[in-house]
Amino acid sequence: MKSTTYCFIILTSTLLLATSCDDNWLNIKRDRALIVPTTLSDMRLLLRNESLLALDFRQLVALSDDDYYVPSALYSSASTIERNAYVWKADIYESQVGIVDWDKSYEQIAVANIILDALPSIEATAANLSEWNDVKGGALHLRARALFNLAQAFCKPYNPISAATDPGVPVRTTSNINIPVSSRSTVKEVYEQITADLEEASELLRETPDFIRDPSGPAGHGWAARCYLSIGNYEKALVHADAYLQKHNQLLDFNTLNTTSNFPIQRYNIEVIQHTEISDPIYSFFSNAYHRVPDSFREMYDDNDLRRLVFFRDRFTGELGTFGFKGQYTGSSAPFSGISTNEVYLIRAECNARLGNIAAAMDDLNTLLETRWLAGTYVKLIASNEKDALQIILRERRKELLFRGLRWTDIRRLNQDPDYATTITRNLDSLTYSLVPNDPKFVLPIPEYVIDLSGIAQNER
Amino acid sequence: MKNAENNGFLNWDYNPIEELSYTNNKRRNINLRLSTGLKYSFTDWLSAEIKYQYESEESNQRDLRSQETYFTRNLINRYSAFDGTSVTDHNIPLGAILTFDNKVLKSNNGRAQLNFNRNWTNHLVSALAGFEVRDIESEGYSDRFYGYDPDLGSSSPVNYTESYPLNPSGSNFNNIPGFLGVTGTVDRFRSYFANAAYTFLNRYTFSMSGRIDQSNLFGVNANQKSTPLWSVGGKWSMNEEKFYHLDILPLLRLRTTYGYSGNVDQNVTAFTTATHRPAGSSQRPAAVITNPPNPDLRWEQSRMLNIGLDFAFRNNVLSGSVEYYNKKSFDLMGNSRVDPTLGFTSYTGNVADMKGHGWDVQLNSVNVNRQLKWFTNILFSYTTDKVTKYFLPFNSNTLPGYFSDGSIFRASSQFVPTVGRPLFGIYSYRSAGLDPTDGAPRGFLNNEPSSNYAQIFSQSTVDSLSYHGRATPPVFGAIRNTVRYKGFTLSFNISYRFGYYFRRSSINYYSLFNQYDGHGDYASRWMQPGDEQHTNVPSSVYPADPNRDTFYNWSSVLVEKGDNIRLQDIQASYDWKQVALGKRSLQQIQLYAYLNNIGLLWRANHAGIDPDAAVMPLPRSYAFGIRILM
Repeated sequence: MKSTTYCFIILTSTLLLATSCDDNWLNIKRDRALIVPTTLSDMRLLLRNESLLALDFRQLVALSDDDYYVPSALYSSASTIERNAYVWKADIYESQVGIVDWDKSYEQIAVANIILDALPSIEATAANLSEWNDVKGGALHLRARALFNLAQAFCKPYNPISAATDPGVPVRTTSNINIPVSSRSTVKEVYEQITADLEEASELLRETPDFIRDPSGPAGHGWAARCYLSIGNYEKALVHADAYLQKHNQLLDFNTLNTTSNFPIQRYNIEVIQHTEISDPIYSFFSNAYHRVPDSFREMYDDNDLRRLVFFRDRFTGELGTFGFKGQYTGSSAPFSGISTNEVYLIRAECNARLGNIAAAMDDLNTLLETRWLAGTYVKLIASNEKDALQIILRERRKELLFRGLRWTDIRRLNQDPDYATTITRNLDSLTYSLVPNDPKFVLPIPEYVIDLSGIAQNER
Repeated sequence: MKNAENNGFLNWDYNPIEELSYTNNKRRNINLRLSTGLKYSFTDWLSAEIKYQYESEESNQRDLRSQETYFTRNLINRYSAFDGTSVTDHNIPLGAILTFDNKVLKSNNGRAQLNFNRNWTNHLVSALAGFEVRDIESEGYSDRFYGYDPDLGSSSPVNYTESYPLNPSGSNFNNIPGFLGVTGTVDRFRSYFANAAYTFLNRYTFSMSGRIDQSNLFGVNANQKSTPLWSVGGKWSMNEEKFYHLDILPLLRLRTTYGYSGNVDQNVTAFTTATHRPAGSSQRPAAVITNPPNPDLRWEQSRMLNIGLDFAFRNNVLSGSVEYYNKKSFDLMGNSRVDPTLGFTSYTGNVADMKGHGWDVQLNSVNVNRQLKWFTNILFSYTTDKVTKYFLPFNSNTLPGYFSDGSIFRASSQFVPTVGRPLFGIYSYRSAGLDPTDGAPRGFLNNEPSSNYAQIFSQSTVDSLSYHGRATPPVFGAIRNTVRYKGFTLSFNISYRFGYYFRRSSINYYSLFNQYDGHGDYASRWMQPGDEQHTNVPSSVYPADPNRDTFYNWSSVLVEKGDNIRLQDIQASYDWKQVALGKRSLQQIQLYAYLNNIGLLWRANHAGIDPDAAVMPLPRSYAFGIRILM
């Protein structure tokens, strides 16, 4: 009797243990915070990773451009990459790994591709269509942005004659890491991908973003205008600048700014349509302590031009006549790289000037500049011909868009035209370094470890 | 900082002594363990047993930091609204900061097993089968209260979604640290196992075993949640044979097993996975990709053959075993650098095949067995491994690009194995000595001495590096001698490791100037021409060139042989048995002393460094005690 009881207890408890072991038992998630992104809302979560996505990794080109200079005494204490990029050395990285301009831009592209690869298996319904489109647009916008940033550093400037054969950067459109990168795409393919993605994104994205660091339809148009301008496609740039300005044309009145403030321009101000920054890691050359702006540059601004005070800080450090920049749209020393209305006005003005619409071009320029001058003092600029208009607009573009990582792109583009080509120089102690128009050093070297790991061809310097 | 108070900030000084009196931390832990078991024999050869254990652990931490603490003052100051001349508002309210951190862990563990043991005249069968389940769940939550008043228990809300400019620079923005959150993990394991052995005539044994382990591995297909493991084996007790007449060797046994096992890495999955994390400045829910999609992921597999011989001479004067193993592993998982153009800088997945073999010898001898007893135990192991295949498309010509992260030097978890060499090896840049003119370390570039470090780095291939040898000892073991006289026992253990190399640390001027990281080698650095005759330590240059330091630290002059013999421990004890204590008696009283990590008896390197503790000497430990058995 007793043994039967024991037998019974053992059998039932065994069964109890066994029944707890159906297949669902093992399907529980290990960590509550983990997900396998499959749904539309998962894709949305991936797009909100601001620490990666709200940045533009255009640091190397920002270090290379002539928006600033660094005194010899400070130069030597900066990091290797800053010092080498500053004087356009043939080898910038000296075997350092983890160059974010490459690695992080491609990480952004991978996030975009993961989303774009997953979207076809998520059904678009009437209920989720708006979100579905916005997510897809966000991923395309991200991929285009990252590819554009890469192209500014590692591709030759766009030249319609040679673009089909000039080596670009690899264009990745898959998220499968088992498919290796075997070769570089051409410059033409790179820009075709960027513009195709931006054209589609600006149609798909919502008009108003959920948060100012997210892309939106107008931000898509802004990026498209910026990109078309950089490859000299002024007709398309004009179309997109127009589309942008139809939605957003408000400008910041510099008369309302506190010129004595450390950073007079607030971040997220009314001109900003998508806020992104160049940083992480923050190079010391971007900080107030390091960079200088030549006095001669500041002298380009009229006494009644408020940008003299809003953009530049006096150095009260005994360095008379030297200035630092404080007009970042980030409200901090981090350079702004997003899309703002002032840039789009300048794009539309330039496109109109190049396409012969002088009146429209000068209208846009005057609209912008009037907000920059002391109220009541601004006298409208008049251009007598196309060339005159273009010269004025390019000069004003130079004066308005500083410390945005855009200057390098502008120099490369304008160097294609002998009339606007410039040689940039650096002085360190008694040495002078110059970069003449179309010098191969306008294309940065691909980090050595990338060459090693992928086997793609290096840029000639 | 000193003027901060005049501008409306709280005092911003840090005083470590005063800090001690301002904080009030409480931590409470509760542990509970319940276990129960039941065994039932159906017959004398069949029995069943089940076991169950429940365990819970709860910890509550309460951390009160008053407004006097630097932590609180600093946080309030950093987030204060400052218009350039004075503080206009406190975004973090004045008062103490109270933080709670609570965790609960619960585990259930059950096991059911059936045992079969039956003996016929010439046959013996023993077998068991069963399964085991384990479930470990943890949950944690934490919360923080700002502006807390301990007397009233009141606190003030803060705005976690706004990002504020941080003082003193005012140029960085950040959100108020929330410290709020709920975390939870669940680990589940289920195993099925069975093994059986059949012995014939007490001489021949055949055995089999199998096991399937399952877990709630995340982000994999169902078939990857289980890993199999099986083995077959045989044993031949030669001394039981009729023809066996070696009386001097009463035990002689030969055994062998062959086994297969599959394994999955808990941290690798085939699907894209992501982790929830609030997005930077907007604090909206967001997710960060933690694992890239890898549809080609496979199990790690290994096959292993063991052959062993057990023996004992008469009266156990000398006994022991000799064992040989041969192991082949396929599709080993590893972490390796990957082309960042793919969007990820590292890759965890199947990376290599390996093989290895080794010997283990154990000898026990009774040297003197009278009133004074002296025993010796000797352990000897030889093990070697070789990478036979590496899957990722990086060959020796592409190695130099990731020297600087130290991959090949084992300085990071990512490494690129070299086919035909052990998994862990010591490589270095060939040194050409110090430059006699300025004391700079030199390597070789096109076989000429050079101090163009960037070029040396970019032109080195794995073949141009010095390969010194294994980073782990292939030969190791220990010898323990024990002497016993009446109640007194003394034993000492000598361990040895031979045949490997290590890299010693030295001065890094970049770290010295930037992080105040010094090194004793600084004293013997090159200072004037001629010094290169007697030192390898480069001269000091300012500003430091990180490449120069990297080259020197990875150069051959810092690689040393690791071989050593160590007096590992000494144990001494005295036992009294059946000690009368009044009417009762104690079974045993033991007084003991134990010394561990006593020191090196011999080392191959002349730098005076313990290769197993190259940075900090292993701490010597002493233990003394008394043990009483009632």
